[in-house]
Amino acid sequence: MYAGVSLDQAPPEDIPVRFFLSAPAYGIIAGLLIAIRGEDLFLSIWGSETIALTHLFTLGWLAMIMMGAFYQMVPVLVGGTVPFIRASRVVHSLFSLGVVLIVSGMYLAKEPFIIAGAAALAPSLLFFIVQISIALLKVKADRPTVVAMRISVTSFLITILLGIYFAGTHAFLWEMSDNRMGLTGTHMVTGLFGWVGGLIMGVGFHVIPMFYMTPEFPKKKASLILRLYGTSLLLLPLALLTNLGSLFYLGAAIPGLAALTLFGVETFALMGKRRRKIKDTTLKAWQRGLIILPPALIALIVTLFVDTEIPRFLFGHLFIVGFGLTVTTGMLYKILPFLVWFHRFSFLIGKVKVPLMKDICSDKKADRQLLLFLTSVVILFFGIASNFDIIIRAGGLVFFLSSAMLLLILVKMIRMKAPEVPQEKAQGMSL
Amino acid sequence: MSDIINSRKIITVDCRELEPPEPMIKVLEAVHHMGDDEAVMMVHRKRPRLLFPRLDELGLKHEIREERENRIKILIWREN
Repeated sequence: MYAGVSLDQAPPEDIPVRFFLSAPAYGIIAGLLIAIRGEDLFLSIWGSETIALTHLFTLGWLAMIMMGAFYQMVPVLVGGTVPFIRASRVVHSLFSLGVVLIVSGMYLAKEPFIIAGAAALAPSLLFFIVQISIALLKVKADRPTVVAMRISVTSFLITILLGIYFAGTHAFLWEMSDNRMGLTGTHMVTGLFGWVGGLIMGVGFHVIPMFYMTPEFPKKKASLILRLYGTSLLLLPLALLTNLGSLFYLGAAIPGLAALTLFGVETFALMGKRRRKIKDTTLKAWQRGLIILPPALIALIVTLFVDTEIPRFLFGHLFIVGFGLTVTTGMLYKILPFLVWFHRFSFLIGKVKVPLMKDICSDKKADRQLLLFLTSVVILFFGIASNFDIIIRAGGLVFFLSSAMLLLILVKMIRMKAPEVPQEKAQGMSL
Repeated sequence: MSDIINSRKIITVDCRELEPPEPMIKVLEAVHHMGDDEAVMMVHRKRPRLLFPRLDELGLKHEIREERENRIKILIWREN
């Protein structure tokens, strides 16, 4: 008999949903902030208001969606059991509160808010790490997806610990190290590449073949990608912490850059071989996100050798928003309709007419929202590159509108109700 | 598995070319109409993890045979 997922082990519907619905709310705030403050937010990556904006995207959007995705995908994709699943509601509440407090604290340069935010974020995130680690350690690491998820979670833990360290300096618990740059660089590498990049690749290995009837992602290539990626995740922080200089940083990054390139090329190739030829919104999101990845990586390389702010902002914008937000938005359009369908309609099959996935989320609306979002990415790119205030504000406004539209689409999905089952069919419900 | 195959009419549902959640829809429809002397054989590329709890809820038995990578057979029947 199969010892697989029971309905007790798969998360209740509301747990991933609350994470997914929260993300565009933070996007709305981010868009408004950019529209109101314009170029002031893009003067220096070290400015407290800029750091606040960065964490709106990385915590409020990316981490929020990725945590919801972990809760949903660990049982479904790799067969793990997430323990204490009902406590995840508290994780979400504390995490949401923590993001609001810490971002406010950073933006207003008010240390009590930063400390309070960290006090909410730390337990919620560490508890999440414990939950997911237990689940992942119980499954065999014989699939690239599992290995990638483990890399992602470990990187998230390091990112969080460094975040706690930085918050502790604001609380005067300890002094900031002389190696602030090295620690911040490590925080960025483990957060963006380890946590975000690791999970996107791990999920991609599995879901692209699953959703689009492509050949399987070649296991040897996936293993090579992860070995190269893991090498850079080890070497780059070491190089940063020992301040070895740009050439060493580049050398340490090369395996990781090669891994990301190989992942992008192979994923595109697989998409070209899909048996289901229709392009839905999620596929478009994956493709656009992967197209934006190379310019992001080029911007990163430029930052190593050119000491100006614009390449740093362009890297941040292209990697976090252009790549990370695009792909996670696309995944929302696959995961959320399926969640609604599975929890509300799947048990009615054979009893009443059950909607299909396209009835739960219209591809036309999703396409329009994705187009609006990508338009904001392009406008912001030009705004940041040219340092032209009005273009930056316009980009912020369009981003605000696309986030609001996304939130409305997601809310409409979760408000769908299951139809009434006629009396005589209800009596025959259990076969 | 072979006992059931030998004693019942087998309705095969090949889901290998279907994207989620069509495999679940097809199989749940098939089991809804399945007679006591029949069994449904689902052929799939991956383990449909979310299907199994639904089958348990419906009081159905199932057995899995992994023939090779990307070809899994799941036999579903109602115990008399």
